[in-house]
Amino acid sequence: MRTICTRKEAITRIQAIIIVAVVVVAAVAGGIAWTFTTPPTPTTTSAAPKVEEVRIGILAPLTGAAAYFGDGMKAMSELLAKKINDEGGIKSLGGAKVRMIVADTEGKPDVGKTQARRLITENKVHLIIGALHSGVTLPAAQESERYGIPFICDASSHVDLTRQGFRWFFRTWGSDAIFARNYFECMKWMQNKTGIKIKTIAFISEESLFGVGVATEWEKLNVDPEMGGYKLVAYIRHPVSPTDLTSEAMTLKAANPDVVLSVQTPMPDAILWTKTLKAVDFFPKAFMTTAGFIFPEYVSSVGKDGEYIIGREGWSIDLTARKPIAKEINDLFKKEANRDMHVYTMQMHTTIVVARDALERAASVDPEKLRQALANTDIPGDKIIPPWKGVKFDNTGQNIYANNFMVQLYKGVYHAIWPEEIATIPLVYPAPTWKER
Amino acid sequence: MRLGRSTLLYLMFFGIVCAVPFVSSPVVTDVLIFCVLYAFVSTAWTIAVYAGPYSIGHAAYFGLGAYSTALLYTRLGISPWIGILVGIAISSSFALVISYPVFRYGIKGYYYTLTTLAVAEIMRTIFLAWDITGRAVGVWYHVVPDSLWDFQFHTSHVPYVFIGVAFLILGVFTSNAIKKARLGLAFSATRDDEDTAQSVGINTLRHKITAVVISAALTSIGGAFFAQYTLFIEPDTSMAMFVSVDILLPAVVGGVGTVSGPLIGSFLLTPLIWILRIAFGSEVLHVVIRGVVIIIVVLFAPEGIVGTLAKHSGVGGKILSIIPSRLSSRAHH
Amino acid sequence: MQLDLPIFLNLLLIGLFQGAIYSLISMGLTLIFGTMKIVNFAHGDFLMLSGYFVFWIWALFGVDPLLALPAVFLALFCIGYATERVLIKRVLGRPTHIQMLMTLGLSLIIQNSVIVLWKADPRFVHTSYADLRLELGAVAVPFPRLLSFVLAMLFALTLHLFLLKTTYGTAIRGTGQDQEAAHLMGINVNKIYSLSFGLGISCTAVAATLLSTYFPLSPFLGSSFMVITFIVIVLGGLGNYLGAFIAGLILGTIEIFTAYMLSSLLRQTIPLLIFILVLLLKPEGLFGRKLRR
Repeated sequence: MRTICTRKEAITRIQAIIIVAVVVVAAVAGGIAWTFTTPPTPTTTSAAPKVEEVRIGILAPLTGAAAYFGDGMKAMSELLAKKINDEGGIKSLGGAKVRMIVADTEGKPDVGKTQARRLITENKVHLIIGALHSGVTLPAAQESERYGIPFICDASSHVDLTRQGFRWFFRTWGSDAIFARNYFECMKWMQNKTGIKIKTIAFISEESLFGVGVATEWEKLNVDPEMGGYKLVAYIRHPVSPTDLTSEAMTLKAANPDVVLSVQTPMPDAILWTKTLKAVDFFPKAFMTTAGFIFPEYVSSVGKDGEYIIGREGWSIDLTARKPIAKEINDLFKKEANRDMHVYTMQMHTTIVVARDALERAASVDPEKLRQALANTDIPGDKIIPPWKGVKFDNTGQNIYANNFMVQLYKGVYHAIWPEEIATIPLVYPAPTWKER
Repeated sequence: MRLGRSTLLYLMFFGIVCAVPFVSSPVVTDVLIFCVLYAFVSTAWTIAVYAGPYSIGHAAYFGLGAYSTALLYTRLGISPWIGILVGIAISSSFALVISYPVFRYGIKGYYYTLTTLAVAEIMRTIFLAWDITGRAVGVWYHVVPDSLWDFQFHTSHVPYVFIGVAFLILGVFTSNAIKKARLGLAFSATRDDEDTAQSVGINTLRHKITAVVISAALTSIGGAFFAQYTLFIEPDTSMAMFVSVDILLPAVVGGVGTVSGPLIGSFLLTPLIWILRIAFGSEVLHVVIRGVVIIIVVLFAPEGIVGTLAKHSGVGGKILSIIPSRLSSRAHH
Repeated sequence: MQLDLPIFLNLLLIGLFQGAIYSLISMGLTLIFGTMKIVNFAHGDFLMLSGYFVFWIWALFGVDPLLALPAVFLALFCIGYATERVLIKRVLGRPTHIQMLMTLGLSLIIQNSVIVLWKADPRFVHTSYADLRLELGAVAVPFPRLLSFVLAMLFALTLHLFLLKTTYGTAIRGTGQDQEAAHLMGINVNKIYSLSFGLGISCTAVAATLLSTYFPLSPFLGSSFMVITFIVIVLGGLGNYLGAFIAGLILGTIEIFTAYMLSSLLRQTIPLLIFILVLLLKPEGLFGRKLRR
């Protein structure tokens, strides 16, 4: 570093004035420019002139480790906007066109918060959908709460999101508590179906907000003698994206649990776990997972090694056989976006269906009317892709019908196995060991 | 009087910053808040650099400040203002405890820089694993109505600007005071040539530690401010390496080792990053552009804005510039 | 945690195998530092970029990574060389923070450009020997990892011989020790810089190739490996490639044992603590030269 003379400032007075002036002028000019370059906005009171455009803000991680998920969310949102507009827009608003405004949260809470504020105050969105990361959804929802704009959470599952006392927050997705139940209900079913008792279990959780949230719910359920009561022989907590998992896999093997519950978000971590389990030659009777394990690229990466893995899923290709709406959207998505669907693209669709339905019923973009319409949502199951009774929010904004089902990877495809009503293949339990395959 | 004019300029600047929120849109206010925050923590970082080698681990102090405030408030209901004081105490002590052995046993230069990274990473991994700090879930604030005592504002973020500017003034004042006082001379002597400094009786150890401790204290205030703004704190967004980089970036852009550098750097860089986020935020490209901007700054204004301007204007330039030639390897510190 | 002999041996072997990869990556980084006194914060992203080269050669042409190794090595060497000529060279001799920022900016660009180009999907190379395991009694070793270890050792040896015996190698080492003297002796220092950077980057190419036989690839691969790489180069003494080699093996082993015996969450914390402790005792790293002013 060069020597800075300490006796006087490094710049002369005139330079300082110039610098300060330039900075301030730039800042103020920038601010003014922003304010005036956003599109002219229609007023949003119900006695307003005709609504030309409904703007929906989409918060998603387009960069950072969750970029893969955010990319799908964005693609689905834009595709659906086009579809809605092609079908005549929001009819009760005289055919108003829907426009999605996507904002990258980078997976960071402060960025998400300000992007939300920007969407609301600059882009004048009428509602917000997002934001995948529970830690980003929270600050963003605080903004929508403050401004009185509906926020529909499509994919964040942390239980506390609906415990903040928000009025403007709705969640079409389930919470970690609901999903944790799915695991334990499935385990009970597996025992009843096969007659093989589950004695020991293990948890593997990555140390992320999602991972901890999920594992905490598992812990709570396991101490409930009615739902759980299994002997927890290993509880492996590991950092996200480690450079190796051999020690962890060996720990698991040494504990030799009957059933393993595992949560990893990034697909590389899921792939690494699978490969490492094979390398140490251990596979439990059932390996029950979620997130990173249930995406198409996981399957193509691990190939046959992923067979028999059970995943807690919201989406499965099986749905296209059972639900016309699933087939329709899946075909459209594959054609237009050239990607396979996954659970978060499915959820984007679910949420946009809810938004559209609310807009049609409200026949207005007035925030309070929209909020009321959302609160009264009661959409039948055949309008959405997941195999739920429908969408209906309780007084905390939680969709009471949200649920997950279990799938098992068999011959390279995830098929539903539980609940039995929707199962398309028989359960394979216990899973064959590596040597037996 | 030179001192008088500088002060006047700064006051003008702060005055304008405080006036802008009254006419600007909410988003501009938000960006302004980040400008102020990063100017503040960057100033704090600069203080450490006055006397010693570079730190890329300031996220540790930032995070400590954030967590102290957040935990005391959400678990014990203690006002964030007191939380800030506690945070200062904790991070200064921590800085002291770390710096003493590190400097005493002669860790310097790149080794020191990477040590600061190691310290921040250790803290991050511990906070991730520790139940008391909420592990990866972090600390979630409950939203309360606007309150100064609770340090939360929602109807308008403008009060954050004023508080931020107050902190910034504190930071600039401290930075300036240190630079001008004998302490500053001692600091820069320590930095430039430790042996010689020691031989004239300067207690370089004490100075290095002092610089780091003051820097830590101020940085932790910035962390607390961040916590009170975002109302959610987790290890991966308050103690990660990118946070340390975000802290030092404005100082580098503006001019390392100067008082005004961090301000100029932050008020230019932060809006630029946000403009990219908003204008191109639906594309991954905006981060690529951010990287390109950084490289351009590095290539064309390596002494920072302040330094480059000074260089090209004669007076300050001669005193300011010692550009080492490529072959003289004074590149280590 | 129970630690009987087979488990101990298993952990030890995997630790060494893991460490060998760390050694490779770190040797590249420390070579760059030794010659040019610059810490390349984009090193991990070059590792990731190499991984993508390997992947695409496999995906498009069906070539096994190990066969593609020479091509990838060469390609990344050229990329490293070019990067130095165009960008890095301009910040040599500049203050630390400038160099840091240059490589950090580079890191942002590389990582996000990859996302723009190829999306954030994970990739995985399928080799024919991926599932082979060697079993010696109760100790079982995955073949790709053993192979990677052996090849890593061979490469390290080759690198060592290159640096020791060849003209260019000696020139690189000489420039690292004393630039002025090297210049005075007629060495084209600028060219050596470009060569060193290229060589340092191609070390990551080798590591990435070996990794690709068993480790998944994503744009974020580099980030996972960076912290441990920093620890290794410091522990080994900045600029000392032999030190980095040994430190890599040691730290890999420590990491693996820590994850098994204590907790996976501490797998980096313990090495980080050791890093600081060692520096306190020996501020120039285990094998570093005494710091000059």
